[in-house]
Amino acid sequence: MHAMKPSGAGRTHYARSLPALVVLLVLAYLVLVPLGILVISSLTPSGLPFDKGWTLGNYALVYADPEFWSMVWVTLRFAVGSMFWALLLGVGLAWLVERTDLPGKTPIRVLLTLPMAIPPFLLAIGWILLLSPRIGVINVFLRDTLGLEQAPFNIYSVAGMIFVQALSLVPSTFLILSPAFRNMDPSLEEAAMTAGASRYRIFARIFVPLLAPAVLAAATFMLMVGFLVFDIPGTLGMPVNIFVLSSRILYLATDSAGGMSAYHIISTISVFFLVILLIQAWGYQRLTRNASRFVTVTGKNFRPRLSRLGRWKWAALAFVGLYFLLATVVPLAMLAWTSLMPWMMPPSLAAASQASWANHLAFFTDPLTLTALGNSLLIGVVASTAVAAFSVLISWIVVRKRGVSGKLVDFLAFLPIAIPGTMIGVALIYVYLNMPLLNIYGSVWIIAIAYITTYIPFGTRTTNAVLMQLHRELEEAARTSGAGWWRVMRRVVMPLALPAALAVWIWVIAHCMRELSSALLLQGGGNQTLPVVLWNFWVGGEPNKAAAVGIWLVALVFVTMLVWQAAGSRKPRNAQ
Amino acid sequence: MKLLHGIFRQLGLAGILAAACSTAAAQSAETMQALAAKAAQGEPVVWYESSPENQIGEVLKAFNQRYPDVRVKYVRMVGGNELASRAIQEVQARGHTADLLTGGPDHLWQLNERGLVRDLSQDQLGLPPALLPVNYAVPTTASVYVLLWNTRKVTDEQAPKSWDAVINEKWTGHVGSWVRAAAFAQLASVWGEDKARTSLENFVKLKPYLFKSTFPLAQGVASGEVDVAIGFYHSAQPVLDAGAPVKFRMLDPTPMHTISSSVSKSARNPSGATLLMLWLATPEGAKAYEQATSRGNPLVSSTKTYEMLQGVQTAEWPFADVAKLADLNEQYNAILAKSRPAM
Repeated sequence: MHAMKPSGAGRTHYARSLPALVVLLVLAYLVLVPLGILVISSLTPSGLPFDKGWTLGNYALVYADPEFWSMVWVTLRFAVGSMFWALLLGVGLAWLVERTDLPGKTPIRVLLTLPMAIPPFLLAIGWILLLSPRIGVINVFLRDTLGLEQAPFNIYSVAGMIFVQALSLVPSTFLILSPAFRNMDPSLEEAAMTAGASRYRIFARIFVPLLAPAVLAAATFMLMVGFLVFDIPGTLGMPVNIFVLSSRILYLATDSAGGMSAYHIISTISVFFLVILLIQAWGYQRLTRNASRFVTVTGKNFRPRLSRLGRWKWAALAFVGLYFLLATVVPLAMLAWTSLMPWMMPPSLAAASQASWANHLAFFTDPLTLTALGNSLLIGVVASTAVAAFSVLISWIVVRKRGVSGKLVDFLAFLPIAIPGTMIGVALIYVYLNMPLLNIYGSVWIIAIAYITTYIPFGTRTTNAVLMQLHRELEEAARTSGAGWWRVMRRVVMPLALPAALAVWIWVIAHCMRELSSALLLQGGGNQTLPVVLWNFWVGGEPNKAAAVGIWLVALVFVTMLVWQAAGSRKPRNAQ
Repeated sequence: MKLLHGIFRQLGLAGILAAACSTAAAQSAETMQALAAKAAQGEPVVWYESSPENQIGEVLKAFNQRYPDVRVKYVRMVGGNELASRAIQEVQARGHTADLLTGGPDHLWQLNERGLVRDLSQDQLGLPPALLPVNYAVPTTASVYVLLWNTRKVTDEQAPKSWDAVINEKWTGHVGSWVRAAAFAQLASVWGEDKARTSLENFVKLKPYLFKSTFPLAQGVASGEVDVAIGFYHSAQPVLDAGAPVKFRMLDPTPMHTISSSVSKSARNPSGATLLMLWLATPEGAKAYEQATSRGNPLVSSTKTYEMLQGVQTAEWPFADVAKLADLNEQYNAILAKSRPAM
């Protein structure tokens, strides 16, 4: 130990504040610019921020329209319904994988996250071929077998939308919750059991409070995703005129009358998302304000206590298998079928004779597709690495600096979730067209920036929950031993946050591989991504080629996840 | 009276087509050569359009056979709204956008209203009036509406032969439509607004399945998801080429949307853009474009679309009435949006 000089103390204070300052500046740049353009857009007559004139008329037009509120009601049902089921399934699966002696955990982890690789609108098309009242294989089979007059299931409904959306959200819920389940200190349970507490009491008094931040983070995130996602409601709702706000936004961008995207209405609706987000953020802050309550990783070593499933093991495996069947096997089988066909047709023995590899061969021989594949990979790796690293840094600031700066950083990091991809695209076009020195307009880098902005909310929700569980004493011990900020981060914080950072990385890369709205708007010739090519095939009348691209996309993400799993298993489960 | 109106309209269209074709083939070869010489000195022509890259690649191959020294960079804008919005944003931010812009009348009208496209009437291009309906746009192709049906679900005899037969309650829950009511807005140019509106309201009672684009709509017919649908001729081609059990026919009147091209005022290679635009309206260019995209120019006699529309009454608002069309589209889209879920 040595006494520090005052100037040294000043430098240390400065050095400690520097990361927060840098993060704040980068976040402000990434988030406030699109947000500012969104707000300005809502106040201009055309929605183009550089157009002359200001108006509040857009607000009157949108919020005085009863149809808007009926759409809000449908959206709310869809968002809450899909969040509820995704959470229920996600909690169950995360508990089984992380806190029980379920066999085959490593492959199960990979398989549970695989549905993320399936582009949601292809997932929806797969379910149309299964549960459409007219051509759905399951419906036709049941109708013919049971002699029913009407199809028993209808995928073109709010319930159908919730079902498919929940299936696609479960991997995200699982990835947010898994690290939190893994990092729970079993000594608390052991103490409670020693004191004679019942299972219910342990669940209510220990499990629920300890998991609250992660569960709330997942719920908040899923709810906002439910408000913003357009693929599934657009594919399953639009055919029967069920619009949610997000599919309405897509409609306003591409199909509104008059020859221009209705950005003024889109941005005004987005302000509604911001209000919802503010309410959620406020609720989340209140519910997790006593961060110390959630600390479970301290300086003491521990291994998670695993519950024995006993004879319930097979039921648990069946549950996991059923989810995997519904979320991956069945829709992938439908995709594979579609990819082999010359046009969209439900599976049948008669149609099987028309199967060919033509669409798959086209995937490997079309230079456009191969360029798009390269672009997607590059953008995915850059964006996911940046989001994972940045999220840990942001969460560390949020958790360790609980003051105004921490709250501000946390709020800024969560804000982009309320900005639809379309509006992020619009904003970035303006920003980078006006930055001749940073000539990235029309390149892959503008899309990478859009993705970093879009996925920071997910990253920070995941890493926040985990860093809240880390006790300050580990870092304090390191500092006492003379470690500087960077060394503490590198040797203490990063290793402990690694499972969460890896979860964020895999989630972000999988989503980069399928994100459409920003990429579609920011395409400029040579920077097309694979989802854009896939979407172009779909809207251009080649769904079978789109399905073939989807199959190879899933294969690519599957390989990535295997690598992720291998990388994760080389690290100790709980770094000490 | 209505019969007479129809006959006059048909005769009028035939006259316009004949006049266009006789002059289009010879449209100022000298002008085009001069443009080609200038264009070859300039930067690549940036072209915004909505067709897939591989299709436009074929078009440009044919263009470069004729003009090997003129380079073109194609950027796909999916949907015309994106074309107009992007062009405006680019001009506002960096002062220039693409050289050649191809889109619907409403998109080009938006650009013209903002003074972003060239006045072509001053350029002495030698175009007949039909190929220069307004001073800033040259029609280069068209989307023609057809009735599609699945031959496994509906026989040729059962398939509607008229608009009244389409709007028959027997198709309730079995009919498909684009999510935009644009066909009815164009029909209003022949029927009048009241009849078109009433027909649309009756169509909405059939609880049609709505599709994001007419390509998936054609796939919906092919898969049997819907028995009949009002789609486009060109977007039905992929399923027809694939051998799907789909047939089509044109109804009387046949709505269509003419798609035109405009040269940007901020074009960095205006000669190249003008050359490409003019070439697309020649028999050679129109044929190459139609072969690649299945969308043909009804004003150029070398196209199948021209042949297909012979003797057919088409329904389309003139370019000059684009504001009217935009207004009707908005009203009619709102009516279609009020259709209740089919199930």
